[in-house]
Amino acid sequence: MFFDLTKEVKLNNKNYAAYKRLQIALYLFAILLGAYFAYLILFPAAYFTFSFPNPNSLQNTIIDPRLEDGGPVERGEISQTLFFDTALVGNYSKAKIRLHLNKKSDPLMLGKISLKKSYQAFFYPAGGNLDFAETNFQALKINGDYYLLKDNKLARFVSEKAYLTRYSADQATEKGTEILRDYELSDEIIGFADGTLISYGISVYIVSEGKILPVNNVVTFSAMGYDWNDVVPASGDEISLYEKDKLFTLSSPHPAGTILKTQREGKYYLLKDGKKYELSPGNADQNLLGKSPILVSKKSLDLSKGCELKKEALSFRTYSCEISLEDYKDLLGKDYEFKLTANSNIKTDNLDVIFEKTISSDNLKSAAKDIISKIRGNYAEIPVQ
Amino acid sequence: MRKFLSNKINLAIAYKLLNDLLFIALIFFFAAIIADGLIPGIISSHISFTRVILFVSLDLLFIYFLAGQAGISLKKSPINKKISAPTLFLLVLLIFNSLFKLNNIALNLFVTLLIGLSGYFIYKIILEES
Repeated sequence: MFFDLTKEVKLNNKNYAAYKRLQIALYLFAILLGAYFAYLILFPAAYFTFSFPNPNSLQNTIIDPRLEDGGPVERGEISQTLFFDTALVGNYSKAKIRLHLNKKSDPLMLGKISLKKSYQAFFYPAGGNLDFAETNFQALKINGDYYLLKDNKLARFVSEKAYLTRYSADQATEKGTEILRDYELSDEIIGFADGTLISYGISVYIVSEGKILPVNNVVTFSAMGYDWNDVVPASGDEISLYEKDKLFTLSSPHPAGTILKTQREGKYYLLKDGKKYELSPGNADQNLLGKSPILVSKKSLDLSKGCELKKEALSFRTYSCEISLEDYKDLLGKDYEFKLTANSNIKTDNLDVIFEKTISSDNLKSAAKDIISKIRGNYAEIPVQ
Repeated sequence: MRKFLSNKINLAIAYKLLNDLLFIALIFFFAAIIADGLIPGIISSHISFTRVILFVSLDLLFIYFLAGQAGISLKKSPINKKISAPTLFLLVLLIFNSLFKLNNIALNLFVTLLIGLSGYFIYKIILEES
């Protein structure tokens, strides 16, 4: 059945038969190992961890473990409730949560985990009413340039593109250059509206609160729900208005100025100061509603499944439980927000979350799609010069 | 262990099996390099290539050691053209693929050619010296 790579080494029939048996076993073992490796590639697991004794470690991949009031967890001490998030791309079948208690911790009498899925920003607390009824300004178009007249000062827009991210073209009143003599020119140059996606060279940035956040890669861009058609190419002058902020990664929440829209209900929300403000045609600036929003599922706020933490066998201080993610599949977003509720004060050392895929034809198809899209991502732009 | 090493039949069987293991490891290594070339990280995120190279090196070391113990003479075999031609083609493809991000096919081909020529001359020098 099998070939012999070392024919020059002669064995008698009995020993050769023994060698052949061992050779078959070796090749079978290699095939099994190959199949296991294929399983790891096709049905990968995603690991997230947080070490409470080392909260600033770069190895920590769980996002922002926080107490109910939003405060940080000191020395792993949790009294009642802990919130934490994970961000990941792809469909997974179940999430396993493991909690490792400190030696000095009281045992966990009753611990529950509940889970929600959406974008981190959609779980922000609701803000009050935002007043959009600002009327004490006038948009002007003077000699092809756009200006904003406010408090008797004229502030110039850096470009028409920047103006159009804030107001529509028909909102600007055409004026002659003589108006420039009547009003003082402001030092401020107005750029793009918050939440605008701009590109410069091969980089894409998100404008937010006078800064730009560089998007770290295409996976983050797509996973965040952005659309490539919304990217506005910026010039050097436009980009130089802004200071670069920290990298926008898969773990980052959407920045201030982003508009969220519920997919079915069509409700709009504006993100500002860590809160989400509901916008309605009555109270919102129509230009905000005209922007391309990030689609979210309203159901994400209500759907919450959970599990009860149980002590693991052969372990003194590790508790774990699993939550099926089947019901979350249709929800938009890449963030999972976990809520841990304990009925006793506990001290934790480590928290792990493992997302796993079960072997199924759906997961196999999605793995194949993922591999094809990764190959396309690598070779999509065939460089011809 | 001593008993095992003193039995030449055992050593010969182990030698043959280690050769099979080397064959499997090399097939895995080449397949992994091709897969990781197409989709960077698909293999290397699971297993480090350094480990595979160390495993292959260890296997080679054991083969050499067992050959000495079992009195098997390792003859230098002539270059197998049937295998070397596709291997060379594969190497060229891997180099071309690794330079794909240059975004310039002409430059990519030129650098691949330079690497190929450098490799050929280094090979010739080593052969002549040996």
